[in-house]
Amino acid sequence: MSQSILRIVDIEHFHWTLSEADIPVASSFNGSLLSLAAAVELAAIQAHQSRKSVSFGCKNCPLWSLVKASGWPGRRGPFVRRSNETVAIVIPAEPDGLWWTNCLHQLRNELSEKGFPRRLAAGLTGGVAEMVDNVWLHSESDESGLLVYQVRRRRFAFSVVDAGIGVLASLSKNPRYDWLRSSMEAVRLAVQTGVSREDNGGMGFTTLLNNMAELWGNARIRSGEAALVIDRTEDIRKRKDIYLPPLPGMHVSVRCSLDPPRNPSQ
Amino acid sequence: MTMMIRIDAHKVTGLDTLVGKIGGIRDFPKFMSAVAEAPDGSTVALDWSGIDLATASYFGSAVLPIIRMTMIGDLDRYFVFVGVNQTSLDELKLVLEFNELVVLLGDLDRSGGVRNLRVLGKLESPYAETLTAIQEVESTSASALHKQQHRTGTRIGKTGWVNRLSHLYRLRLLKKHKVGRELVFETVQKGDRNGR
Repeated sequence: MSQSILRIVDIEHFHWTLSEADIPVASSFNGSLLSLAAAVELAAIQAHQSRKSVSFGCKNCPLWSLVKASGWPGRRGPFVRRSNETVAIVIPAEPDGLWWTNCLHQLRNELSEKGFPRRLAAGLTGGVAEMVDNVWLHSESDESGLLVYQVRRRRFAFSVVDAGIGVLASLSKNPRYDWLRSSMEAVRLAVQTGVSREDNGGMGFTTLLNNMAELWGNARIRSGEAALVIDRTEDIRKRKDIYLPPLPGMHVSVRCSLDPPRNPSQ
Repeated sequence: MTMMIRIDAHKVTGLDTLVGKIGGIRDFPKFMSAVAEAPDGSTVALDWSGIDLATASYFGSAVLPIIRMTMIGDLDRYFVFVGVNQTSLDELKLVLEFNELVVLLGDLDRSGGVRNLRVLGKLESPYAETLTAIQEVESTSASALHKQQHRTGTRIGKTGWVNRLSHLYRLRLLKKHKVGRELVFETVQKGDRNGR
């Protein structure tokens, strides 16, 4: 019998339940598997809720075990752990050029080996690098960030998460965007070319989204009380705004494939 | 003969993957220092052939500030980007177009020379046509272009040609020098068309 897979929408629903509960919640996802984005989102929720005596478990889910083993967000130094086709990388609070370049080489090579054309492998690697750069540039957190990626034959998924100040607070530091009042406005704006808390920045999301343009899949940008989903699981690209309970920092999750999905809703 | 200095991005940075604004800020002084070693008025070939990937954010913080310095007259150099692979080229184009900048792009030949110069970024068609006209003859003046315009059927006054050429010079797509009382404009590297 196959195990059920909990996806990001299930975690969003759980987060609402958690935020509306009057008493501390102990939840169990035992017996379920989590998608990559779901596991990272759950870890971010757990990190945020840790002071509220909330506990959740997800036994027998290799992805959850990997994310927990990373020690994020408490771990300070760089850390890499692999479990089959999934890699968790704790991004140190300070950039480390050579170590990070080696991580990117590894990712690009894996993408090439798993059927992604060389140019696309490099482009997607650049997209991941830009999301990690955002953690260093904008999170203003002493805590580390986390990158988890999974490369399968002609399919790629990754999540980058931090527990920093989030998009709204970061963009609002630029006087040009001090009119921003909601996380949704901020996230919608942040994905546009050239939008950044500092002038001469804001290319990262464009790099990522341009390199995904020819692929099937979606990107979800989650910060504060908002998530923006850019969906290309069907022929026409769609954008979806989702309002959620507050979550500090930012979580960018992407899954993409060289082939169209058999079931677009998945 | 115009002097051409080559700066190898891989040697300058010690890396083959150049990503992010932070990486660009880290490497900007290295590029600046390498560029400073080239003489005033020289053409510098920025060679990216040892680079697997450079992102828009990287170009935006490592190299574009140097290009801007030439445009405002703080730095007397002319740049040609060479050896840029397709992934990095898309990224460079993205950041150039967003910042409304243009640069010259060329191909490296086997002897290390630069050929087939073309413009990367958005250059309005009158300027692109003028640049092409100069690349055909390598060096010319506004009055010479004015005299020759019957060949192409254009009707632009001499002042119009001066304005076009001056704009291309400001963008550092052309060099200029005085011959007698006349300003002569020339390509940043003579012999830049199809290996001539």
